[in-house]
Amino acid sequence: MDPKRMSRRHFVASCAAMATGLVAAACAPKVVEKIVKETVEVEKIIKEVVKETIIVEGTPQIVEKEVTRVVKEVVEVLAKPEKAVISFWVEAPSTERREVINEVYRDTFNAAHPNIELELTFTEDVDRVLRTAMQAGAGPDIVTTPGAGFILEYIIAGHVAPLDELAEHYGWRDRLLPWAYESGVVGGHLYSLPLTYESMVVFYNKTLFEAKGWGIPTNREELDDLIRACVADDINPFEYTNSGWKPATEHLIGMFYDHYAGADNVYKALIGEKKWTDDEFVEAMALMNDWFQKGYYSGSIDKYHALTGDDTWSAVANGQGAMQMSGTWCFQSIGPFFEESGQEWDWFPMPSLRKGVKPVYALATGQTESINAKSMHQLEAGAALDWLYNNKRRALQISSSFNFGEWMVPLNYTADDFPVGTDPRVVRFFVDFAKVTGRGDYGYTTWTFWPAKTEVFLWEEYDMVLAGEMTPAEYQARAQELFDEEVAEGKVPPVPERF
Amino acid sequence: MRDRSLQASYELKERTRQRVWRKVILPWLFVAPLLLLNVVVILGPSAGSAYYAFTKWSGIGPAQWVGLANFRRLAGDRVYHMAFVNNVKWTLIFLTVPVTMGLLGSALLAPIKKGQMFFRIAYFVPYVIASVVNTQIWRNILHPTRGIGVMLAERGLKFMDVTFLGSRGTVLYTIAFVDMWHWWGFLVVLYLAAMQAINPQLYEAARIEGATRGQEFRYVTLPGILPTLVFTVLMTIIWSFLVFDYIYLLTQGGPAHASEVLSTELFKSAFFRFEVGYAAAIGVSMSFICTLVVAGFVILRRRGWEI
Amino acid sequence: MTVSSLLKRRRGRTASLLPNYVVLTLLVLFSLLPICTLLFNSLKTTAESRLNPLGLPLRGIRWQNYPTAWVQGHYSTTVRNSGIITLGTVAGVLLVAGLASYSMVILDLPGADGLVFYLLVGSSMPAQLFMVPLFFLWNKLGLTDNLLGMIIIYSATMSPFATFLLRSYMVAIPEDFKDAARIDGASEGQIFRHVIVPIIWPGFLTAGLVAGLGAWNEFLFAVTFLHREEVKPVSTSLYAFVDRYSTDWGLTSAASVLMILPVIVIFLCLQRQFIEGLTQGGLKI
Repeated sequence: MDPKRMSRRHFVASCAAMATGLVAAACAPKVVEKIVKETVEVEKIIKEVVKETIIVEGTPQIVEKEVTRVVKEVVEVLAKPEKAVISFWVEAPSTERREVINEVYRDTFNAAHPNIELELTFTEDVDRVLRTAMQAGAGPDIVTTPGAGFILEYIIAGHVAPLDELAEHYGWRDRLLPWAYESGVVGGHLYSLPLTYESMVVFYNKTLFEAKGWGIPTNREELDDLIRACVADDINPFEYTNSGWKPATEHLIGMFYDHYAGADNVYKALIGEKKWTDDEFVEAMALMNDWFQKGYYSGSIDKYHALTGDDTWSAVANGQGAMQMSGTWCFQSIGPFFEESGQEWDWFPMPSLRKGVKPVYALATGQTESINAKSMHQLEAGAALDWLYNNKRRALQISSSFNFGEWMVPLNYTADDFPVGTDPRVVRFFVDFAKVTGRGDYGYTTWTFWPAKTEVFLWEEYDMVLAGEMTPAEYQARAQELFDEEVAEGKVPPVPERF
Repeated sequence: MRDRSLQASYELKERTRQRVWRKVILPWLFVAPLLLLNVVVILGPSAGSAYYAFTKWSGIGPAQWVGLANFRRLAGDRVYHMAFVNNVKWTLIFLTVPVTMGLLGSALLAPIKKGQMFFRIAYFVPYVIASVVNTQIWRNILHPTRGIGVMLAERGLKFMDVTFLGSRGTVLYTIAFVDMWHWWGFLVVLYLAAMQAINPQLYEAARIEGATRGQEFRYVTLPGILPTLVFTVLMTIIWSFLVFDYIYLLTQGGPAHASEVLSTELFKSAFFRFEVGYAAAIGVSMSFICTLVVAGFVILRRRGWEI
Repeated sequence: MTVSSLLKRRRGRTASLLPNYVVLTLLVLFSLLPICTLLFNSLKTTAESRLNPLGLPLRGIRWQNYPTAWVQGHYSTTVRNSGIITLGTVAGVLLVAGLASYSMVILDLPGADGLVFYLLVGSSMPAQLFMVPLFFLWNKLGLTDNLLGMIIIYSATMSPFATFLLRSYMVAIPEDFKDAARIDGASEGQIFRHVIVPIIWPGFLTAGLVAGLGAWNEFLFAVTFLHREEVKPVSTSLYAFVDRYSTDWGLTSAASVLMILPVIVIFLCLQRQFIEGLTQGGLKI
């Protein structure tokens, strides 16, 4: 049953017929087969091998791809069709949040689509587990990956299906934020949709700032002054750690790239017009290293490697640390720390670190969702995906259980969309973000826009720079090497054009 | 006459067949389940992986044959060298400290009757606890700002204020310490059981000869538990090259590869950098090293060491 | 006459056992105090667990941590799963390793050296090396997301070690016992039951314990092969729990205690028989 080709009246009529059939079947199973036969228009999926041109770094590559075409066929369907079961694997959150997702997303979807059963599997380490499953040809219908750099591999191998026709039918292009939609387009076809979006900001202890009479820095000089003031008062300017989540360093790397080298330059390097070994990038990494060596982060590099995330938040909440440069996913966890310490938190956008560079909000997608090319129920999976994006209120209801730190589907929200009682700091962020990025001002986060191998190198090997085993120049040179390799392999995710 | 010789040769064949059955076929039948399991679960898939060591593969899509390129890269890879050295350090630590403590503990414990079981149980408990839990316990104890190091430093032992798990100089030894704390008790129980299987007549004989406690240990106890001892030494070496859990759970090989070992490099290559071919090459090199060790032991065994 | 009484009698002449006790007690503290910190933490409130990470819960005991951890961590399901996997593995390992070691030592397997070499090489394969192809294979056989599949994997990975362990116990059986029994006209089966089993019984227990422990605590394979909620074991469940509730150290400590409690209880029960197994059988002169 595909709503796409059927008119709504027909759809409702079919549903009614089915419901009748179901009731009849419940009463007299044997009778059903004879009496009720509903003629229903059904879509058939046909795979075709098509030669496509993928533009990679200016050189067109001709790739043979399997494209799915949808063909309308009229088939006789019994009144009690078999339920299509869609499997969807998601990173496992806490139990209460799981319940919210199940109730607000899965149950409402299943109720509205009687012939589809959406099964959500919550699993830890979903990226690795899913990848192993995909390698064995056993992945779920809806495929989750940590970002565009990772989905690209699946695309090239033909493991995920293009979503163009589904997108057209449901009107995704108009509903999603433009850059979010574009992030899933490869070679002219849509392959994935982001499940959540986030950005990077600077969280700070408002109570502490007020007590010390510190203002919010809006440029490099003010930030330097603020850092100096912190150090003078024996307060850590920033608290952070990569002990619990090793990739955490890339959060900072991206911020330094965007705010020192500048988002424009980052864009140019991503599309190959500039080199990562250019001065501004090396200097950005050198500056970051300098701050680390001076102990601005958690007091010492050793502590950066050993504290837990909770420790860092505890420190900020208690005024031992002033700020934390991190992502908006922290909205979901920051509250309890400050409640405990009785102090107030807030955030401000990261200021520019160099003259002439405009501060931006970095773009980040948390997870992408695609449809498994081997799925037997691609249309039903498409319906399940659409259910995430077709209702702002429902989307925000799910996300609110994460305090909007996760499951924040990139729709065009306004302040009114948010449920009453939402933290104004959170609302302020999303509204400002939509406004600023809407006019083309945005930055880039490494896990959303960098190719996989280079991205892993960036966060893994920065430790060596901190340890003095590698200079920033060597670091950038190696990054460029890996980047070039991945460009040659066509593994660089698409970068939406910058206005 | 002909009948009888036919009968005799038939009986001979029958006896031979029975002997072959009893001496060759039956024993191997007993071993068959072990072999079957082993081949299906371990050897087969390992061979498959070994094939990938000669390819360049991201795990998705086709694998591209590259011959020895991965191994050449291994030879020059600085991180691989660091990991290998760490494995060697780990092996040396584990061959000395826990084995000594195990022997010490079991030797001290053997003559004790009252409360022996209590001690045994106490030492074994850390071994029983999962690595997931042990790493939590110790991460808490060794916490950089609230842990025991800081507490002792506040009370005067300034040198204890070390970020055990964050500082490159101490991290490998810290993790080894945690794993050793978990492992040592197992050796005590093992050695104790072996000691108690020693024929008491040997001790009688030694006592009659007037041997001291130390001499008793050296000439009766040690030889008596030699098979077990050698077994633990062998497994320690092999497991030291394969060590993974504690390092992965505590630091994932960081900071800056200071606690990197071959298995974490393998894991990261396969699952974070999507270089399955390279990862397989690392795996093959690890198996190769272990095979060398095993070969060494087999040679020793042939020379009469009873293992 | 047992070994320990012999030694004690001899010792009685010279030094006392006091130095032994002193050192052994220090070692007990070394082994058990860290675990005490876990127990203490499991009873603390969230706030106190952060302020007082090592000491006794001074600001009130929160027993509530345990029921909460049990429910939030779905322990009723995961304990059942782990239990099934563990028991299956122990049975599988003891059977397979018992047969193999018996064959190698008592039945005098020809080519045993080669087998030893093969097994040792086999146990030197890093798990990560064969995990992915194994997943492929298991998937084709329908054994992923499946407790039986897990049991087979663990049986395979732990049997070599168990075989060696049992071998080293069997090798220590004095030949004279066996020969004496054979001369007396006992069949292989009788020799097995009355001479060999009593001696190697502690070996079986130890091997079973090690295999069972390995199965209960194993983490890497479990997280890769078992995805569905209904089949998850305790190890992966705890890992996720700690990650999810990282702010509440008291709660995660309670969850950890819940995981290790069954193992410790069983170990305590088995310990007694372990000792008895040693005093029975052929050590009597």
